[in-house]
Amino acid sequence: MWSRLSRFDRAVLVVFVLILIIAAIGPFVAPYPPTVADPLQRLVSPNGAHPFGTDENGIDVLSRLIAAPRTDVLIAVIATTLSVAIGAPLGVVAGYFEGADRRAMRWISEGTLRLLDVIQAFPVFILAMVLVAIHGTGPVNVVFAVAFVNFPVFLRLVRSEMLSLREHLYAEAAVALGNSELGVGFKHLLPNAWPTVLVQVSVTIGFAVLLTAGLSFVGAGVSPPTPELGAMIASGAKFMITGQWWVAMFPGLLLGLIVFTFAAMGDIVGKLMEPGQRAIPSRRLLSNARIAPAAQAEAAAPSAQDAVLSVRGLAIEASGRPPILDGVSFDLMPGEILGVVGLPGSGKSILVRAILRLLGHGLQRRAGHVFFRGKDLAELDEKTLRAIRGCEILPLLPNAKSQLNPLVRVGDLMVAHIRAHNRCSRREAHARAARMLGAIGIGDAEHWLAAYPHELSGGMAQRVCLAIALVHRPPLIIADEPTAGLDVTVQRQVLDLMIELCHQSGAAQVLATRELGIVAHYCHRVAVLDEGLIVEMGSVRDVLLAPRHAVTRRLIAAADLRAVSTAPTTNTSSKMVP
Amino acid sequence: MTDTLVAVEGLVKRFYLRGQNYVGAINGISFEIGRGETLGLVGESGSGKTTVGRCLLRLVEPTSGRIRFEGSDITQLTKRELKPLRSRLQMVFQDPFASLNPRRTVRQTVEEPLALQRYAPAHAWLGMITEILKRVGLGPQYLDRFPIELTASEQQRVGIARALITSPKLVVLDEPTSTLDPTVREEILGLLRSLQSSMSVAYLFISHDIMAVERMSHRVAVMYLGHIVEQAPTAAIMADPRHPYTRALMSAVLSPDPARRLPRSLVVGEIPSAINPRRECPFYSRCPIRLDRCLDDVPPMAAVGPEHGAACLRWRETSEVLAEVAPE
Repeated sequence: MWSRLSRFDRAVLVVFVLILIIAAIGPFVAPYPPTVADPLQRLVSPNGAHPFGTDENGIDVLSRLIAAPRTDVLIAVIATTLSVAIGAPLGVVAGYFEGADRRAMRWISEGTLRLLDVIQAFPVFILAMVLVAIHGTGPVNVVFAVAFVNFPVFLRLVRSEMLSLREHLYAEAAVALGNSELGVGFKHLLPNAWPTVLVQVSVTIGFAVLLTAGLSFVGAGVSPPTPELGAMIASGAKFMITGQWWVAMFPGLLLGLIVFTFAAMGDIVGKLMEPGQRAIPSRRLLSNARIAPAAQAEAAAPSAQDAVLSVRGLAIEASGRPPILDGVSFDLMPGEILGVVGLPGSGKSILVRAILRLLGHGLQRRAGHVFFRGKDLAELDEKTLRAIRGCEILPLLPNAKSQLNPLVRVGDLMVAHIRAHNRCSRREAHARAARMLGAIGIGDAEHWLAAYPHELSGGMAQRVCLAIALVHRPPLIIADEPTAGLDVTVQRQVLDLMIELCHQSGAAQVLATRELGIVAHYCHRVAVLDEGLIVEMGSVRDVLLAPRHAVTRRLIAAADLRAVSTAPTTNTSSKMVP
Repeated sequence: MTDTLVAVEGLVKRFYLRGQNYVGAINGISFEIGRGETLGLVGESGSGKTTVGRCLLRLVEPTSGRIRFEGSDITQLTKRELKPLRSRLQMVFQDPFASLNPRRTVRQTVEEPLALQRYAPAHAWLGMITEILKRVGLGPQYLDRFPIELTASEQQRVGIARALITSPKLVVLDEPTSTLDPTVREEILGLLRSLQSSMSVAYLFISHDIMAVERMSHRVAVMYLGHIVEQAPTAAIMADPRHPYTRALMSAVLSPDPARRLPRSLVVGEIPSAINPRRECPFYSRCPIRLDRCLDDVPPMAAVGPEHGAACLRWRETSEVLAEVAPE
């Protein structure tokens, strides 16, 4: 937990804990009694006995400083807790009313929000002062005043969290189990909103301290002799011009420090509440009795002369862990399509990303080379690599729709891509984009060029990505689950198109997928990965019809449901409704 | 009929947009599910199959039509009356991780239905939870884990345990394996089938994967654009599909056997918009064997054989005509 914090965060945390300690035990550890006046020691400047001097009553400023946070922080914490206690449940109810079927409930919700607008639009300070003026001064009234002006913040926050959290599938699952909708709000959604609320709590406490001090400063809050920062600043302010600066300045600095610390703690609370870092080591890493890679010998062999892509002994690891890929070697000839398959976690996606050098998340290359037309991609500088990546090697990733910038029209995107590596006018590029859409079976090109990505279906988006991928007739395509999430009839169309376009342009392809059916019909060769090693590689027919490795057999069995299928056991068939 | 568990009649669900426009998610479908039986509901995204499952649990309110569950019409129940029904009518969701509350342990998740339904005294719960977890293949060491600490397969097992702990009569399985790896898919389907035979629960198995549907179901209903276009016992529909859309779905399956020739793809394009559907054959725009009279009305369900119906005017000649327009 500690390790997730920066040095600054740790410092803030230490100061935060110190403030809490002082708030708890301050009055008992102060060197002088913080409320007992000593007329002989009035306005003594800082010295050995009184490091921060004394005030107009002759009380040690340091002692009062140590005693003061108890008042301010306590009021702020109680007031903030109160505003959460009022605001959060009302927020859940408001969120529930908002989504209700009945119009009356939505009106109540709407009306409440407008009322809150009024409270919030009213200057916080004046509102608090009015409240204190009606009920008189004193710490209890300050608590209510501060709570009253802050609860709308939590109501709004929780309400908006409800609106977004209830879109989660587990909210629907909870309704299906028999929860009422309000019950789902309190039992399932509110706990998931706490992290956000706690961040706000921390910030609010900081502001509440400031508000408390402010009210006391104008004489509407805690009054002397109780040690309190606002009142101390007020009583010291008049001495600023006569030269006794220490009476007001030290409380002012402390007030600033407290407010800042609580505000900064908001971020830290947020970081600490990030979910799920309890370490249960994955089984894969525990049972890691690795065999020496048989493919190692192949790694030493020189790469084939005319290969487009030649991977040699590639090893990828996350620092300090066993390798995720180990000794991966293969050659890819022009126009050849290599399928990469394996169990989940075998390293398929990592291999794809390693070739494109798009690792990240602490993964790094430990050994090996990736030669693309003779150049070692692993050794190229970023700039050269970027030029190759966009133009000569094209990534084709799943969920195409999410990769298209939602604010850019399809046509503009294609034109930009065409012109990025090609000198031509906008008009020429536009005409070429229209022809491309026609080639991938999207009629009414002008309509779709003017469309935004959200108007496209998943299949269309993936076809547009394909068209973009193939603009510059790249010699190599690297695809990772290019048809995931598409319907079966659409998947066929996209795959057929992909193969046809590859065939026309002579592009080679690495295609990582979990669907063996795609490999069987669209690839020339297949590599089977298991725990980062290529355990079997060969022509599709050889591997799929005569598998030698257990993993390959398991993949085939899983893909061919018919092969393991028997008719369902019991058949209490009922008649169909005509 | 004594062994009917669920009978759906003329179910319609419309989502209204601005003005008079609406999305016709379900346009009048009827089917039955017997006790302990699995009905496979297959179709592509946008066919309305998920909405059918959500209507059955009243997670969305049907626009019209009747859903009789164990004899009583559940579309008329108030929310309060619905609650006790939840223990007999459950659901397993598509995305196992998203369907679990990330801040609840396995034990808290599986316990919730018991607590909500006051099912058995509280001291018996832990025993019941351990028992159901054992049946889905999870040991007691999983009780205090959070969803993020589980694999996708384990997460879905927890989802299944949560649905089955109150011994429901019907479980709606909404694409329970579509986000899983094929090797895991096989595991979960096998588990669901063995649980069915030991607990005699009926399933509505919703999927886009006709192979998984074939493996799981006693009977199959094919949905397209809010209509059931073909319905039959599994063996009959697999051996002799009569609706061109059923044929298209089957021909789109990619067999992992490279020696088997890929059948020609029968349809082009994608499922059309469901906004303000016209009274015509829903498959008309993509059908390779359409006729002008297909535009006259929604084709009625023709009785192809015992318990086998197809909503196609050309059901008698589907194979022959398709062979002409799309030769192998």
